[in-house]
Amino acid sequence: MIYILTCLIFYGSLFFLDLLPLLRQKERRPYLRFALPVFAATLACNILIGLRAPSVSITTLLIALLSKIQK
Amino acid sequence: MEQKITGAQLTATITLFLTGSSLITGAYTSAGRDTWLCGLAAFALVLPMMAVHTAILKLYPGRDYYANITTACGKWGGKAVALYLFLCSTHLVALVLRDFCEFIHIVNMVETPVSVIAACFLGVAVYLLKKGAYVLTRVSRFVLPFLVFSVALTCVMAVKDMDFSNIKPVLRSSPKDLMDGTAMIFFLPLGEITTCAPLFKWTDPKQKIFPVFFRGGLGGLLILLAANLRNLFVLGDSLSAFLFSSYEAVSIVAVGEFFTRIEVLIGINLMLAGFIKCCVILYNACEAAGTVLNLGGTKRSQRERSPLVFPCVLLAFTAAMVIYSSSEERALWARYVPVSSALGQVLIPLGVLIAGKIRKRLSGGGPKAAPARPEPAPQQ
Repeated sequence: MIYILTCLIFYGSLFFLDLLPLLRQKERRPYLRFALPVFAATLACNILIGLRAPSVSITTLLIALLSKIQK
Repeated sequence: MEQKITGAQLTATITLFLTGSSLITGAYTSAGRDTWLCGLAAFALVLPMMAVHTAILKLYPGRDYYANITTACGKWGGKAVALYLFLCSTHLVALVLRDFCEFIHIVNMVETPVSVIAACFLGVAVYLLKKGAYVLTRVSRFVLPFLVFSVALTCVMAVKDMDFSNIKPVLRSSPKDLMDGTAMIFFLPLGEITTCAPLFKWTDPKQKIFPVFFRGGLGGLLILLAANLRNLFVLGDSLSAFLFSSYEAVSIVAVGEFFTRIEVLIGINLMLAGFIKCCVILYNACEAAGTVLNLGGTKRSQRERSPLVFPCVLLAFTAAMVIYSSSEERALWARYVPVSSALGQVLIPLGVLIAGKIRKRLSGGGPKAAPARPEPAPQQ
């Protein structure tokens, strides 16, 4: 629960200080193509991590990939 | 008018970047007592890579690392390279951030969750990076003397606890261990110097590139060697047993009973160098993301990529949380570092340089010719 709370505070501060000004500036709209999906996807990931959903670490995936390549 | 980054500022940034988190672990490798020799060998190996990065930056006017990559490799080839370097940067910053947070969590703030430490740390990083590359390098220039002073102070104060015979026998390690150790230091941290190359975009065109790389690399190497030898002389064979050997070595040091707990200095070192390292990698990630998405690059302003900072920070935060599932996995990953880093740190820069030289020769415009660069997407 502390994890989710930390994420909400962190994401909330970034939303108000960075994302909201970006939404208001018309000339910087192209950046939203990257910022919005990343914001939403990482928030969803972090909530899932906070809820202890089963996940695989990045290192496990990379080790599996590199082992295949080395073979 | 935007201020240019000076050579001294960039040298300090590279030095802090290279010391980064390695200062805490003491850059200990499988070569054991001969790790310091591996450091020297790795530095000799990284010199050609510095020359390669210098040549890439000089390929076309402007010293724009990612624009040069795009021009040398073509639009889609350049984007593919930038995407790969973006993924590498995100992974690297996640590794560094996790190390940083674990250190604080284990040593100082046991009850505080890693996520809280990471969020506080990245919040400051967002603020600094939004201010532009100049502020990042100026902070580095300000911070470096403190780092050098604290390392020198701990070395001097640890003299009474040192056993200089710990360095013997020299070259007792097997050739395989020496090669593994050299590869380890070459790829982590010296080879990561790739990440500092985009900062040269904001230097004065008259500023020479290679000497800055060289001085920064040498500074980083000397600080790491000093820390490594200090740890070896103080801890001896038990060095390999500790995850944060610098912290353990300095925790022994005390002057009487009135000057103790000097290991706090080690924590401060990590705060300073680790923070700069994360910021440099995040800056590189923003530049790479901007190249992939064709964003920014029109105004040539240091803050042109600032809207990309917080998405990159969020990716780094999330990646740092799921980078390892256990400490065994962290140890296991060390075996794969050379394999995983070789492509981004050696093969891609070499490939880009060769492609750029061939493209220049085929365009027939001589060494000063600059092929037309793809224009970024028009800002609405």
